[in-house]
Amino acid sequence: MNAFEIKNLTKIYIKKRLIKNKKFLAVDNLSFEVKQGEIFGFLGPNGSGKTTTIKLLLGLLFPTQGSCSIFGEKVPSLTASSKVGYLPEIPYLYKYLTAREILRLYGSISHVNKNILENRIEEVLEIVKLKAEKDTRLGEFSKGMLQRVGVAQALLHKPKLLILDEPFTGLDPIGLKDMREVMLKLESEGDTIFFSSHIISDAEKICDRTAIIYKGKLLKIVNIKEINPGTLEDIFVSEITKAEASS
Amino acid sequence: MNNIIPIIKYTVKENIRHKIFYVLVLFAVAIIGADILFGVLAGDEQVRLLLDVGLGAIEVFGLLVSIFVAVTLILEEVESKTIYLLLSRPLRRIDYILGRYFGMILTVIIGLVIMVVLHLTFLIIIGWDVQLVYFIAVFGIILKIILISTVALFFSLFSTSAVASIVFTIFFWILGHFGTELKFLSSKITNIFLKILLKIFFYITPNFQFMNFRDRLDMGSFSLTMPVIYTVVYSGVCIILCSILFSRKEF
Repeated sequence: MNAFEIKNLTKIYIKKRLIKNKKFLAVDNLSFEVKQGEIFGFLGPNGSGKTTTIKLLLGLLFPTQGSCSIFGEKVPSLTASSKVGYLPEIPYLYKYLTAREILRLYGSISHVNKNILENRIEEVLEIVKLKAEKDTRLGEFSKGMLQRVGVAQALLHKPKLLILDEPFTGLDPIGLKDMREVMLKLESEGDTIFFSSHIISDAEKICDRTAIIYKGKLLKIVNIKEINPGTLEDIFVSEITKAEASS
Repeated sequence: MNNIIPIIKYTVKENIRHKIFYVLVLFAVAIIGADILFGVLAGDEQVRLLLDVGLGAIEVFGLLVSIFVAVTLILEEVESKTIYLLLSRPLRRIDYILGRYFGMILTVIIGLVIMVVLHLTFLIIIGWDVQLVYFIAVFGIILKIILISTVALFFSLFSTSAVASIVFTIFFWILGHFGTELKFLSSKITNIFLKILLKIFFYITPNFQFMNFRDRLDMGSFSLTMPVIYTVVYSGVCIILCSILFSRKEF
């Protein structure tokens, strides 16, 4: 079974102007699927439509054409949302709440059973190594600590599909290592991980497959097992160069 | 409903930890200043002045708190992108709007109650006997504040600028106090365009004169039922419009 499917997905942003509206094609007829239990990297240079695709998957944006479905449920759907954990590029969190309070809020909205919520909060805080700071307001947290809270909230309701937008950006080497370990552990438990990145080396280390996109178009899907180790970056550069030359 | 309560809770926490208490401190300072001043200047009229000025101040401060809380309620969350982590969860957009709305109303009422307690304390200290009419007047203020908060929330979803929303809300607040005058003007004016415009404003602006109990307390002729029904119906329509606007929003 596929964790999610994207079919002919197109998103055109329309900037409203007084005289003539300005259109921008962010995602162009994108189609691919991610299988259950795999780590799938979504690679592309800045502005290639990675975040837009993720927002369309999450129902934060509406497609101009095409559709997405998560575990067979057409997006937007509450059933689909309940199976997804999302980590945005920058963890947008409420600075006036403590780590425990914010996790309680997200846990309640994700329908985590009241009886197990407090234990689950302790568990995820343990995973991200923030147990000691659970009653500190997020306004006092460093960038790295906020990223960890971001990871904790994404894992809180034990989602079957994790969607991570640039999860390696801004992390120090220890943070990078921890993030990779968390992702591999979740994969070993049968969860699906879909993440966007432009850091190719990290993607190659952990992914089963990757998609390369440029200007909203899918260029290639790479099966990591089928390529020589250390060549993903070359494949990426060659695909982007070809696409640039033909556009 | 399961999703609305957590949203209400964090909305109240957000507002109490952030904004509302600064305004309350300001109010406390203003009322203490007024008390001292009236004590010196007013002589025998100290109680009446403190009562009138205090209720007026509660309404104005309640208005300010409600407008700023309501206008920034969703705009700020969209700008700071904190909304992403809520709407990507199994949360219906209508539940989000209702949770934020009731959280905002609860915050504003908490603020008003604190101001009323402060005001009453001063009144009792200077020898005023507590009367039921005072609480009826406060109830009227609460109804007005609920109405204007709902209008402010609607404008904040309609426009993308906080300043524009605040200006529109204040404009509605002022017009809402001149309902009778608008009706009278529309019946006298001959220009058909202006006549229609005034009539539209008369029907769409909330009629705050319904809730101005503190101006009518001496007359003793007022009904509580109609203003409550009016507030519920007007707010309900506004909330329906808010949820329609919000369901079409992209983030």
